[in-house]
Amino acid sequence: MTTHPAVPEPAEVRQPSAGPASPPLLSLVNVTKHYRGGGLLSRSATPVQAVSGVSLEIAAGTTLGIVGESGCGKSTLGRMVVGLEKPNDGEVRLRGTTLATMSRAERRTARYDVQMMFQDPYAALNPRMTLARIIEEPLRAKGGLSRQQRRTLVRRLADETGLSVSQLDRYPRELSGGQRQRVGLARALATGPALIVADEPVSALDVSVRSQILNLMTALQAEHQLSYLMVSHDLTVIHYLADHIAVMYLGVIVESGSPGQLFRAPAHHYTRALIDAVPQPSPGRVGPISSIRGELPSASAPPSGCRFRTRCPAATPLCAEQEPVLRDFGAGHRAACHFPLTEPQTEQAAS
Amino acid sequence: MSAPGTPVLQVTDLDVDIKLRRSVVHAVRGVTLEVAEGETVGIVGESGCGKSTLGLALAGLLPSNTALRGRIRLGGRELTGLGERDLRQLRGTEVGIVFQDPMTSLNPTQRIGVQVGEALRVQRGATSAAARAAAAEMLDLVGLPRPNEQLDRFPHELSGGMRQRVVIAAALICRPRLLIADEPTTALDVTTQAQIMELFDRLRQTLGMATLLITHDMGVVAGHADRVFVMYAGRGAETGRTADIFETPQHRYTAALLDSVLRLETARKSELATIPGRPPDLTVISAGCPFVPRCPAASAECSREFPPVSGSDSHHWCCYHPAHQAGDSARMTEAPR
Repeated sequence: MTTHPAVPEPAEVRQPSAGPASPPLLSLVNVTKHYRGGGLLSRSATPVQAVSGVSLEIAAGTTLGIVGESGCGKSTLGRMVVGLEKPNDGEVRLRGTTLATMSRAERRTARYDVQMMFQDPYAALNPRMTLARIIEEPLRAKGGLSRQQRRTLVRRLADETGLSVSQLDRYPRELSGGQRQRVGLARALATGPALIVADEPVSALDVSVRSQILNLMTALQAEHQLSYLMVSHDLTVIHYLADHIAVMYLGVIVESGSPGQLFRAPAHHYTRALIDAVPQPSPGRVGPISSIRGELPSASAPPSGCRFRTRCPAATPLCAEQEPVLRDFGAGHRAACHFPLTEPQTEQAAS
Repeated sequence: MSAPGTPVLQVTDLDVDIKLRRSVVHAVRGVTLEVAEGETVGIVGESGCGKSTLGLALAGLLPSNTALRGRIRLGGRELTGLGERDLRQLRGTEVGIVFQDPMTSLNPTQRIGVQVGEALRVQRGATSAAARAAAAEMLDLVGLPRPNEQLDRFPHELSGGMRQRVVIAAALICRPRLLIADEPTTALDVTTQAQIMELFDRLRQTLGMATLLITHDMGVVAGHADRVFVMYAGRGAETGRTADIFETPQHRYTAALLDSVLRLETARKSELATIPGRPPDLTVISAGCPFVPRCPAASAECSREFPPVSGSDSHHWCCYHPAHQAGDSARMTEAPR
């Protein structure tokens, strides 16, 4: 393999040309997840709609970025993809097969095909295990390799993620945040997954270390044709790594498209507000502005119609009456807004 | 009252040592820094460079296993050597502090009105009714909707952004001269972060306090600080007006830090600039510049002696091989603000 494999095509280019072509690596079809509401002592249980009716696809070798504020359902979505949560409705499909209908053997394979990387690697690593043991753990669980084979593989994984072999006998507490995140990546890679769900993988890191981890993630993706489902509130990180971006607000996707489409010509007012709020490291430029007021409403009682309308500068009475559907803005760019910032391609709702 | 522009905070040659069981961490070394009335100074650097310890020292919140040398003057009054009682008085009235996580600064079992008004009652002897009225006024000033209703609520009933507004209200209730904000928006979402930073700017104009903004986010500093103080290994590496620091960084560490910042203009999936290695172990005092092991421009002299201060009053640095040499002198001779 060459050292610089071609950059994978953007996800939307590969979107379904219906027919016998192979299904996307991962697809979510109308996925809904709600939690019983109220506290432990509360009886008034209004269910909290964490995710409602989300459909998404990830092609092999590409990155899907999910962006939104805390409480928008982006982490719940990630947890459903790795199987840590089951959707109440809708389907999560891996290579076209629905997770819920898989046989035991299929589910086992699926588990090693999709791995997870967490925000705080310290909380995610067993403090009593050496790094070698932590990275080896998923291989032991998967089985089929001798001890010697596992050891060789652990060394190769350490090498690939920029850890020195001498560090393998250490414990997580002896490492810096960046090194721990490398261990998190090495462990996620151990079973040879096709998809890694990365939930805020760099937000706890210093800028210098953040660049190192992003470089590593980019290199590993090219090397292994990996797909990432990257969940983050940081637009610069999403812009850098994602081939396709979905913007979530209160459990629904309000806009999706390529980084170029979303950052150059966002259609949804929420996307615009998120972009405006990014602090730009250049003094004198028009600084970050909070073009929206107020805060995320409760997910147990989302506003009627468009969920964003209570904070939207362009909201009208129509927005309270009718929930906007995702419309086509051309070349895989979609947004759900009655009064978009750019013109949709057709007046027909995209399915 | 002091004239505008006079230093509210003057720190001279400050050292902070933290004594551990077997070693001493030299967390802050020889820091000299001034903050004027109505001015915001951003303190930046990687984790472990001493910026939070510096903030705690200035707030008089260092634990008992620390030793402090040097001078801290607040509004002309010497703080070093003050007893715990005087320090406590000072914290409540002259210095306000806002930390990253509002939940750790607030008492979960106490109503918001009581917590916001506490310093007025305890330090200034205000009556409960007066403190409550002042708390409502302050909550209004920090942008909490329907402040009178919020007084009787508990912290968990508010969102993260609203809680941080409550913490800010409590920090400012006695109208302190100095506000220390340690990563005040790191735990918040981007839209909330923008709102809170706008609030700081507005409060500074209304109340005129000096602000120390401790953050690792160069974007926040660029938009909201008048001057920047870059720390590395417990020392001041470079300081200057925000535009100078961002446009002509001189210390190699400042330059490397700025290069590694991810921007929306950064080419997607391109190789990003990084700073190799990690900040040094602060239990060991090195003779030369502490950045040597990670510096692309280091030479033999860098390891011999800590570099002297170069530059002008308004923009100076400690580096033998500044990143932008000749040609930038015109900028440096401009009158300080």
